[in-house]
Amino acid sequence: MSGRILQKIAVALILLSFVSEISAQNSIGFNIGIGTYDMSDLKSILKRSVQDNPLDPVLVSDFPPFFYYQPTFRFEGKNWNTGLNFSVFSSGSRWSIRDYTGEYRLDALVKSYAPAFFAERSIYKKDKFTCYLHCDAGFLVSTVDIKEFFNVLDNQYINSTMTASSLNVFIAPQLNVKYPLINKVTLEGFAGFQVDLVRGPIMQSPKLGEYLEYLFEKAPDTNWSGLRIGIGVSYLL
Amino acid sequence: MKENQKNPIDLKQYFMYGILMLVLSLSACTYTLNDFYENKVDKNVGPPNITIVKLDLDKDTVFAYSDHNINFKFQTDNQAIQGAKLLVDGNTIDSVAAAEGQMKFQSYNITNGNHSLELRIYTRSGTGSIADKLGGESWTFSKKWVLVVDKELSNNLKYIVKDGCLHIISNKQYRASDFVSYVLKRGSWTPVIVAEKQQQDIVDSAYVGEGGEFQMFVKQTDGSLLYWGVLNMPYELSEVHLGARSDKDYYLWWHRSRFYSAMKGYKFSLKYDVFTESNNEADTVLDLPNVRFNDYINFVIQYVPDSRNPFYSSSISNFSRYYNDYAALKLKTTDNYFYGTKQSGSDEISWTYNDTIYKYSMTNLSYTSKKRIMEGYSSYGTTSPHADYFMGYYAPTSNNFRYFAKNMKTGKITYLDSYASYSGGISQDLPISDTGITLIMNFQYETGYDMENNTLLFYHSHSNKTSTSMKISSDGKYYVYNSDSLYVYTPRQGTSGVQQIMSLGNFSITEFYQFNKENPNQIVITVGQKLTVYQCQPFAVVLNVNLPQGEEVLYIDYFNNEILCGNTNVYRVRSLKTGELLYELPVNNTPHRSGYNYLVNHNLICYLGYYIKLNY
Repeated sequence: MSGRILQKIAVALILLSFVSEISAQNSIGFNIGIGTYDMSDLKSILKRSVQDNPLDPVLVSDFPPFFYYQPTFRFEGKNWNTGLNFSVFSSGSRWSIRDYTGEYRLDALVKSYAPAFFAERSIYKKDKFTCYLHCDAGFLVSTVDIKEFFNVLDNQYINSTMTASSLNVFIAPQLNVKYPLINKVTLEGFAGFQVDLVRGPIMQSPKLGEYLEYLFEKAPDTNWSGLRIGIGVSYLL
Repeated sequence: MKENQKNPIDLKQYFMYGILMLVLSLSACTYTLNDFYENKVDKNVGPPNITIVKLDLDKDTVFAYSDHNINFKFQTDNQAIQGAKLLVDGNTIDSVAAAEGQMKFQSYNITNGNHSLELRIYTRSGTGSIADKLGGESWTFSKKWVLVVDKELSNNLKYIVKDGCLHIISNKQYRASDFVSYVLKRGSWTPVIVAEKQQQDIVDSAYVGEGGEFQMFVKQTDGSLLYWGVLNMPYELSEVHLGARSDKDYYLWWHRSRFYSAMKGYKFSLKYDVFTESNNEADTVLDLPNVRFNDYINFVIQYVPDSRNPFYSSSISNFSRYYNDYAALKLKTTDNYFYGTKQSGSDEISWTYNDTIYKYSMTNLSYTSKKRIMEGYSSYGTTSPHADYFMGYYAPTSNNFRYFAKNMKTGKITYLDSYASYSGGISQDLPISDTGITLIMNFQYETGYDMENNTLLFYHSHSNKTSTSMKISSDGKYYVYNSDSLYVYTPRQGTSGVQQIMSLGNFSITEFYQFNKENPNQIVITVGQKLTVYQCQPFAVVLNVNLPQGEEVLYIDYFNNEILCGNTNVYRVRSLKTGELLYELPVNNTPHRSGYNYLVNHNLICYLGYYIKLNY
């Protein structure tokens, strides 16, 4: 079901890009925002792995909201803008305990690179402000690094690292507000929500074919769904 | 204009560069994990007070005789006990991660002797640190003992007999504090407790010598039994022997049990399952008033123990001794095989066993000589009347035979190689005289050979009338050929022929005929009830004796001139000179010649070495 929706959205965005005015101007920009990340599977896995730990480690970081960065390239038309952007998301989790005798920690760092196509349409203008309905659609290529470390009385018993990756498909509808600052430079603000429509399994050293094979299997995944709020600046080329 | 065009370009370039720098720098600014949870610890915690609630170890010295379990329970007033560890000579042998439990002391890799034993108790440190939680940080309490290991129990038990009772004694004392008593058990399959004492000397007052396995254990305070040694007592019930006060008065005897205090009495049986009883443990003789010479006796004696003996009823055969044999004395020989037994002297018998000729004195009941015939020889052969010559054969190959004769006095062996390829088998006696002259059947010829000088003496043909029971006189001058008739021949001097001395027509081969060993010029022949002694040369009848009806000549002692006869339920001894009856021995059976009876110097001998001295 989600595959069909994904197909329809992709087709619509491509069509929109073609209906944008060809003669329109292009702009580049850079957005910085803060996002919340669901990551429920990873949270559950990590919690289970420490629940019988006699050291009783404490969760000090649980995939908190964190900044993400997003360079964009935009085709600006009369009413429609389309473009490409590339987002970098990251967050992490840590179970930790340490004292003078030793330390235990279980870290999970997740990072994702998200190339996306977007389209936006102005829905309201007043003075210099313009309000847009904006929607991103793209892929999330995520890496997961899980590190476990245990040291007591100067003896290191655990120091292991596991790296895995996953592939998701997402859409991110949001509301953009733009305000031209000076000559060709525009300030933007936005708020929206990202939904990972398809979440591939977390796998170690997978090939693309294996991703697709297990795409709809119920397996632990990285879920980057959450709020997206940020600001940006663009320059009209 | 140029400036107007240049400014936007510069702004655009700056913006582009700015964006690029921002992308590069911020892209590296991904999420990092910097937070830690600092564990709350208290380093100033003092040691706890340990209370020993239970510990199965002695105060200063621990005696270890085998593997055993050490139960313990400790308590603290503060930090929890993590566990305990047991060390021998500094090496951990067991540990338990609890305040209460059991540690196994396994002695298999600890040598006998003195060692150090250490018990370490570990408690939590109480700081709450990571190491404390894992047991890496703890308070340690230690206590040491002298450990004496003594695992050698293989010869720990011994026994003595005192006042007619069996005492099982432990050589060593159990010295650990958990001692309760020594427990003596008897029996290997289903052991029964004999007694339980605190002394190392335990009496089995019901043991009569029937043999068995005794095991001693040490009973410990927890009720368990520690193996303390084993002792296998041999079966000591006395063998039963036959005794004879005279040739008509027999009795059975045995030795009194040295465990007589445990004896209640005896049960006897001369017939199956019919027992008589004796309540006198000192009895060692049972008279046999109805038994006669050579009766077969099936005797059972049961040693009846004290009623506390638990094995008597279930293992009655262990308390029984048997005498299943003939009522006769036995020659004191090292074997029971008397092949070709014959009298070779006035007081001497001889026989061949394997490769040796034995001579035996009936007066001294001992060997007078043992002479080997030939190394490894075990085939057929006969000895001369005085056992001075041996005639036999052997098979050097699978299908022929080689005759030989050995002079037992000189050791000279002569082979009769002219018959070396004979392959028809040997089915005849090989009579040989004390002078080395032998008789051999060769087809229809009986042939006389002087084996001493390896020469052919004579040969004689009886056409198809072959004989398998030829006899030759001790001096080799006469021989008997028994076929359709009984013929006596003597070699014809100066020729290779023979001269007939006498013949008895219709002579049965089962009749008795023998040359006199001491007077080879005489031959004794019985026909029916008539015994006749003939002189060969000059031919004459020396003696005629008419034997009573049913009487049969069994044997003649030529050295003492006595004839042994048998009749219904009686042996009779007659004079060879007069035929006069000299002695009678009543028996419960009828002696026959086939019973291999001998009379040697007043000793009546039966086959297989049974004899009795006749009282006349």
